[in-house]
Order: sequence, then structure tokens, then C-alpha cells
Amino acid sequence: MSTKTFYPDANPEVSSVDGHVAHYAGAVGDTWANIRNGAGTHYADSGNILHSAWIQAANSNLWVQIKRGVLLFDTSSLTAQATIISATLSIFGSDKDDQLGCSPDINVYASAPVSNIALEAGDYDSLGIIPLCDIPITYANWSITTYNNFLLNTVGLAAISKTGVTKLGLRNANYDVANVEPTWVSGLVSSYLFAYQADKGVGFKPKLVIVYHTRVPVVATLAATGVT
Amino acid sequence: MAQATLNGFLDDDGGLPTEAMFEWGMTNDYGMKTPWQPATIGVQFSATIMNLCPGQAYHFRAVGRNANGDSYGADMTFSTLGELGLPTLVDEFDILRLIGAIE
Repeated sequence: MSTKTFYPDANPEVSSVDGHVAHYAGAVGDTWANIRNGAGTHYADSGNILHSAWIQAANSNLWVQIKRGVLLFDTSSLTAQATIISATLSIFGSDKDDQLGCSPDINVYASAPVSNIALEAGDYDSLGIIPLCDIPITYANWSITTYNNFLLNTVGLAAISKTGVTKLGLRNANYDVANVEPTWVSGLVSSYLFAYQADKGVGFKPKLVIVYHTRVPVVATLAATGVT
Repeated sequence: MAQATLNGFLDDDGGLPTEAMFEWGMTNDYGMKTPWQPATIGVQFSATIMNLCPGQAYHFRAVGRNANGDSYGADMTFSTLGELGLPTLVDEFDILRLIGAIE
């Protein structure tokens, strides 16, 4: 067995970007449905902080924004011959808050940004809703002093590209993905789980650790026949 | 001349196109090889070697390869029929050598 660790590129990207995308309605706010399902309006793919899951309330039961994380890894060096045994996405938490009191959790999903080396606002709705890890990390368990680990499930392993770029995303699971509107409590307050992105550097940047093997043939020698 | 058919079996191709051949010789250092041939998982592969010495023990083993590398089957032996040490006549030049007509 072999193990390889992959990272998104820091800015300027060469093969794989990380950052976040958002639907931002401004302080006036918009309905939950429009915030969640609308097209993206903002993005950021440089800087140290990845706004991996952010829900912000506006006034009068409306919402300012939802943010989602995008994480790409150039896993092409695995090669088509690799058989992936396991993979773990590790994200170093940088901050969290729960002013909405809704205990947001976070999980891994597929993403499909238009470009591998830069984000754009339209990438907001490219994130999937099928979890690539069986166990979301709860708000309480989200560490801001070490890496948070997502062990990828079979869907997640299948999402790994052995010849190209693996495209993952982070979303709040229990409200954004589940499409459950949080209970509005007050205007302009937020619940979020933040992390460091690749620009933060060694020891903090997101990483995808893949355990794999490549198989040689197995042959058996049989008795000779037709011996004269 | 003695001959034998060497046999092998591909248990696992590693998920990749695979070829097989045999190494053979009078010791388990082998020294001789049959040509590579395509191999299919779960299917026997064979190669016939000829012009063997009579009454001689031979070693051989199956070899498989794919893009990830080579692998080897166990060493096996067989012995050709006949009496060890008797020359084998194959053509008129061997006969001429025996009677000293040519070097």
C-alpha cells in the first residue's frame, strides 16, 4: 500500500483552487429559498480563510447569505492503475460561531467549478447534496485548533479522479443541504464554521490523504505437459 | 529432439492488460525465455519449448507483467525422456560433426 497527500494550490493556482462561493442578498435579505437555490453572487479564492459553511440572517425572517467551500486537489499522479483503499479530507478549522443557536454541522460534497484554477460566483450552485462522508462534523466537534477529518465513504472514493483533479466542496449539512430553514432569531447574526485555505501555508492548508495500491499480476506455474 | 509444453495460469491481472511468458533452463537461474503472450485472467497459458537435451532436468516458472510490474510463479521442474549425455542428431551437420567431417 502507498499513501499520497494532496493539497490545493495557494494563490496563484497552477492546477487546483480552493476558496468559497456565496449567494449574498445584502442586509435587506431574501427568502431562504432564494438564498439557498439562487445563483451565486460572490466568490473568493485567495486569502487565508475558507468560509466553508456560513448562514447569516437579515431582518424580518429573511437571510443575508449562505456560503459554501470549494476544494480541488490535483490527484492525477495516482494514475489509472491505482486502486483506492481509503481517503480522508482534513480541514484545519480557523473559527466558528453560532449566533443563530442552530448548531450547524458540516460535510463534504462534490463540486464542479467551471475552472480548476479560479472560482467564479456561478460555482455556488455546482455543489452537490450527496454526502461524500457518512458522518458530518457537528458544530460542537468542529475544532479550531487542529485538523477536522472527513473519512470519505464509497461515493467519496468514487469521486476521486485518478487521472485528473478531484473536486470537493463543503456545505452546512443540516440546514443548507437539508433545505431546512433555521429558526430566525435576530437580524444580521451568523452561524458559521470557518477553516484555513491553502494560502495559510504548511501545517494549516486543506489536505486529501489517499491510501491506495497498484497491483501486479498473480500467476501460477502449472506442471509441464507433452514432455518427450 | 525433446520438447515440453510449459503451462501457467493467470489468477489476477491487477485490473490491467497483462502478458505472460516462461523463464526456463537447466537450473533455477533459468537463462531462457519464451516470448511474451497476452494473458487472460482465469485462463491457462502455455508455450512449447523444443530442442531440449534428452534425460535432462529443467526448471521453469511462469512470469506475468502489467503496467505496475512483473510477478513470478513458483519454480517447477520436469525431465525429458531418454538417456542423459547421448548426443541428439538433428540434421546432417550434426552427423558430419560426429564423424569429424567438419569442425
